[in-house]
Amino acid sequence: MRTPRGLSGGMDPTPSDLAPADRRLGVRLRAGEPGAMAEVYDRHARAVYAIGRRATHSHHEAEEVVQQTFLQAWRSVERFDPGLAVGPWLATIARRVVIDRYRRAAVRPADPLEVERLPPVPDPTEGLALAWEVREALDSLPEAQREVLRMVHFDQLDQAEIARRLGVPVGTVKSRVHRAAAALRDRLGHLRSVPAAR
Amino acid sequence: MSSPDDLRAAGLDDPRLRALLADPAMWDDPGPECRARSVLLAVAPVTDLAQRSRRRTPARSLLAAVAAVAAAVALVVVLARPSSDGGRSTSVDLAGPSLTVPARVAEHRSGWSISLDASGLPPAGAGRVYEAWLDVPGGRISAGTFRAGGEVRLWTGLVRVGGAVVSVSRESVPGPAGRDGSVVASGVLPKPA
Repeated sequence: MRTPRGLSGGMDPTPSDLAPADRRLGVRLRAGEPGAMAEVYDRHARAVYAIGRRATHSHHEAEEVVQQTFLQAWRSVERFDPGLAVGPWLATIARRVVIDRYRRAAVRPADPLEVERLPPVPDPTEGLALAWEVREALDSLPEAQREVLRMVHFDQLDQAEIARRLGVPVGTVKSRVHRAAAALRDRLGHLRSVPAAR
Repeated sequence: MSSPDDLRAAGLDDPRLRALLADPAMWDDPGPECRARSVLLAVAPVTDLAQRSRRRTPARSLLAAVAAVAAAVALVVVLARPSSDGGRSTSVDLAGPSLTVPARVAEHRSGWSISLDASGLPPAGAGRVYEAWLDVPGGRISAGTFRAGGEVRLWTGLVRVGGAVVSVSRESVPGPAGRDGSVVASGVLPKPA
């Protein structure tokens, strides 16, 4: 069972709540408040993991990215601007960790002439910012909505099968999917391509 | 399948979003051991930072530095003594962000033993080991691997170890040769008297 995400308390945070809360957490982190880094982990580690997983395609490697990111975050916490939100700062560190890992793992050809024969290498960090945004948006959803989104998009189940597995009416599944998609739209407005249907 | 409809209805018809939602990176989580390792490395130093910023004045910092140097000198003097088979020994605390791994190096006829008190390290985890390294003039050599906890004894055949940087990293197995994982603790060995 997943642990509750986002802010403490019974209500899930709205997008407008997230940035100020993250800034308050940043102030506590910069002040060296005990437990602040653990709270940063609980709030953002999944997004760091998502970046690591997208870049490495490996669960273990992604966990290494998480650990290296938090280690480097600790090492640079004295340079963290407490007026900024923690999330973007941590995302920048995670991206650098991924780039460093790619550089270390890069295979350099012994013969410089072979460079011309090598296939083009895709940018390893391409799309990581979007992955961070989407993961944070998913993590901000209530668990019930997130669960149905996963079953639809990742497990590729139809709504009748989801309803059967969850033991709820199909209408409940539909409403959860609808609310989840609307919440994603609010968080990821820049991805909107067509006006939302009524 | 309802996936094309719910996102399109919400105005989110971006193929990049669809690709992400089908990626385990969006749904899988780091394990609890990852949290333990990450937070263990981070929490205590943040506490130290708070204490530093609240309490330390320049005069206190100077006194603390003098005391630390004196303590380190005393430690080296006390510990740089002959080992059981007649060689020398010395000790150093390998410092990590929030943990310390005491290390004792003793000279033997066959080389140097490196004893680590690794009780503060969490288990390395599946597919991972800890590896001890010595950075000496000319390069870096491995002194062996271990999984977790308790007293760990490793060996190196180097002739001289004084001044070497000792580090412990967490590596994947099988993995690339050389230190590739994150360093959890490191320190410089004093030169044995």
